[in-house]
Amino acid sequence: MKFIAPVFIFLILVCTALPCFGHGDEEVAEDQEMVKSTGLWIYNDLEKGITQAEETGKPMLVVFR
Amino acid sequence: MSCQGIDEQVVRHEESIKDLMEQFVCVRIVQGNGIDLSVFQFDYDLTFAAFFMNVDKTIYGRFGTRAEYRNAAKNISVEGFKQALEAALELHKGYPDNQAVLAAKTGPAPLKKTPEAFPALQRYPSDVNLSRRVEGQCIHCHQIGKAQREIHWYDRKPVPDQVLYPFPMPDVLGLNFSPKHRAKISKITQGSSAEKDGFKRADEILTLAGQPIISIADIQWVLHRAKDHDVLPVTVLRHGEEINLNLTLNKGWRKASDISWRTTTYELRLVSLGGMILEDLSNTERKQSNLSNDNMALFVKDLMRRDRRANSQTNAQKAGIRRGDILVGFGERTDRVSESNIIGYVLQEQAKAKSLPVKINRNGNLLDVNLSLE
Repeated sequence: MKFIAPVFIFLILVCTALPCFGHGDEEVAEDQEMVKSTGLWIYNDLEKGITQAEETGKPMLVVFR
Repeated sequence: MSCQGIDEQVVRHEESIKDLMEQFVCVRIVQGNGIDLSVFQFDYDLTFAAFFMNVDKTIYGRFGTRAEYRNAAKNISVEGFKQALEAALELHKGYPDNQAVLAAKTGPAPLKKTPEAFPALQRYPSDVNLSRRVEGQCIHCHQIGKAQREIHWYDRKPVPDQVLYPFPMPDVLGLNFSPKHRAKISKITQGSSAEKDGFKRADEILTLAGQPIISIADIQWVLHRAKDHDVLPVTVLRHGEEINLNLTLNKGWRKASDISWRTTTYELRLVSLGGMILEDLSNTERKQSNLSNDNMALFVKDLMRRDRRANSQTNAQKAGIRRGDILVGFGERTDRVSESNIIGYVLQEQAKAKSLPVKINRNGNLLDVNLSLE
């Protein structure tokens, strides 16, 4: 019983010590699919965003996740 | 609560922000590899961080604030994000006439131009092919913060305040903000420097150190860049009227920051505390244990494991420290301190020490141990 708390904390810390956006291959694939399906975002391509902002005159919103 | 809620609302252009979002080119970045650190300087322990910017990379503002481990979204909301979007669009309309006041929103030249240029991250590629396996390829944001710190401690040099206590929360000065607004004060801590400076609840900060403020993250950015002892000019909106105030930063102000929630503190605990997770005992708990309110009483809440190998002990375990012990002395320190303070003490004042004496109260008995440092 006394080992449960430290192991639990260890697991939480290890899990949250994973990525900026999060995670393993599966999570990245899911995120990519979900975000791209909205048709509202440029995914992981800053240069493409800059080109589009130049063409449209719009400001940029760059989200790190 | 994670940041997933607000992230999904933003990703899907939720109804309340839809019209505003459509006025931006929206880019989502999910890797640290190759990012330009001369532009993208932010709190790398965040799980949701946003930049509003011009195509020439002039920054209008930042968004994303975190101050707790479990409740990552406590300091952000869609309402606050909406107000930041509106303010960013206003700044975009005023550009380039407002270019001069926006200049300081971009930081100085970084130590390294990209994350993978840091020694600790050299094994990573400068770009990631997301159609292949990403595990082991991606640089995660918190790794950038960690790499910045490691440069100092691996050379046994004191870690600078700005690196150890990045993006301070304004509550260290007595200013608390509502996450539902752009930068509106929800509470002033009694006796704080902010109270002495004349700030009032419901004041809305319009500019700080000359920079237009569109979010709590913008305030943190100014504080991140501020000196150890400084007076920053502030314009606030109070009852519809603009008022000029000063925000005083007293020497050592940044050290009051709580870094216990940060992912990167995991490693700091191993390096400076031998893997202990510490908690300052409350006055009530101290009374129960017959301990003074003025002196150190850091409860060993837990002992981290170095890795999954059962025989791998941390330095605290090797020193014989146990969960439930109370630290009453650490090196030369016996004063009342937080875990964050002790981490700072080791990494700044004892950067060259290979070990430090630690005094423990275990069930009322005092014990002396020697804690090796990494």
